[in-house]
Amino acid sequence: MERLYRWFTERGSPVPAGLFRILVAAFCVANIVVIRSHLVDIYGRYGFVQWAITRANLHQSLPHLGDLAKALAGCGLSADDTLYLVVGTYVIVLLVMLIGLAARFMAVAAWCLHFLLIYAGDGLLYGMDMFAHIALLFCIVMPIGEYLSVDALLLRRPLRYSQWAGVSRKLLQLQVCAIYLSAGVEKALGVQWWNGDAIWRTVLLPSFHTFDMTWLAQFPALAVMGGWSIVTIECGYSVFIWWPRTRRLWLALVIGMHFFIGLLLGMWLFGAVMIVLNLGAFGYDALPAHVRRALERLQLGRAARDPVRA
Amino acid sequence: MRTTKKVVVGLFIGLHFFFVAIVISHAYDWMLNRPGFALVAAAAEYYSSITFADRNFGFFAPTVNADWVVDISVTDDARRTHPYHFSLDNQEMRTKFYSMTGHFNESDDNMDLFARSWAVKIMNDDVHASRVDITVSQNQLPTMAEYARGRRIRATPIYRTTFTLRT
Repeated sequence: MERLYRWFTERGSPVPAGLFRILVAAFCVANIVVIRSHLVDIYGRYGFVQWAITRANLHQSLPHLGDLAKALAGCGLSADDTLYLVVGTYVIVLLVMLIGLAARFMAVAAWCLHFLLIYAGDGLLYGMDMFAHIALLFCIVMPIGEYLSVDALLLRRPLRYSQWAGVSRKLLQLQVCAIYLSAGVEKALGVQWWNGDAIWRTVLLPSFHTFDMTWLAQFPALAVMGGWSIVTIECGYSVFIWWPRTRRLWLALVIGMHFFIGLLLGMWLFGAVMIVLNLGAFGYDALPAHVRRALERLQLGRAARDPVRA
Repeated sequence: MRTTKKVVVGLFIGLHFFFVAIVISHAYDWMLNRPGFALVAAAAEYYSSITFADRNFGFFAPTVNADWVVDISVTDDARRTHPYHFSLDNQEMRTKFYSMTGHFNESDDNMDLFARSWAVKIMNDDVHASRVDITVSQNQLPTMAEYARGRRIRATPIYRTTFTLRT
């Protein structure tokens, strides 16, 4: 128990948290860029799913974009104006967070604004939105402003290992493991993932049709192997990602899996947010020691105070 | 960290992963029907609605559901009918639309609410629209063996409704 406590509370580098901040902010901005011409359709009062419905699905005590629109109506702002105001503020906050100015405060603001947006578009919500919200939550928790940030530059803060940097990244790692364990076990419970049908159905779905993959029907063994591989990668993640000897392999496998999901189903944003979560959680540990040292030397302002622990 | 701060942070971390654990282990589903655990289940749900951290992450699991096709026709003041297509010009929008039709299919109430929502959107977009006919079909996907034997995707209607503008 004491060893577990020591492992959990050991000091960690702020570098992964700083890199995570940059990746999450860049991803969230990219997300808005991709859907920029559909903002009203997704999040608008009379979008694909009206606010009356999404408000009803949200707990009474929690705020909705419609509540803000109602409050701002007195200032002469329409519902669409409020939406654009929120999206505009969200993008600015993300850009400020990306450069690391008042980074934790910006993470809180981005998370709150993202909350308003995803519930306004609750009818179209899917995994990517949830994982982006989780990533922003961990930006609040982690010391994201300690590395490659304007904060560090202005305050001439040296790069310092801290207990919270270590603990907060362990939390992210455990969260990502829980995600893959849940995803893997749920898949393993379905016969479709064992007989290849899940892979076949996924590539056949007209909604995700990117390439003609119907040739797979002639080689069902490939679909079976694909299904087993995904279940193995997801279920094995929680074990093999911790073991230093298999960490790089498993990280490469899971990133490869998300890359192929992006390529074959066109779900690039979903793949990207999962890759961001993986890199934030385990990417730094998978790097060779000399690369980690080089990353620490990139710190703006003064040089690193503590040596890199291999 | 000071001891009090450590205890508070430790409690938060413990609670967070307790909620994550009960949801991914399906203990939450069991608790839902047990009055003695109603408070815990309600707390987990509330926490989930804020953080999204304690959700069931089994996407495309245990089965991959077939997708849905939404056919809409709009009749204008002059009684001319034309098909209407939602603007889904990139894959991200098609993915979101797939997700929306999945939510649509969750209950009969959702079907009616979503269909009404689409009709309102269409009538807002097209001021001449006086009637909107909506048909939702689900694609029936053949298995690999059936596909090799020549069977193809078929759409089976599951929902049909009409909205007319009252003047």
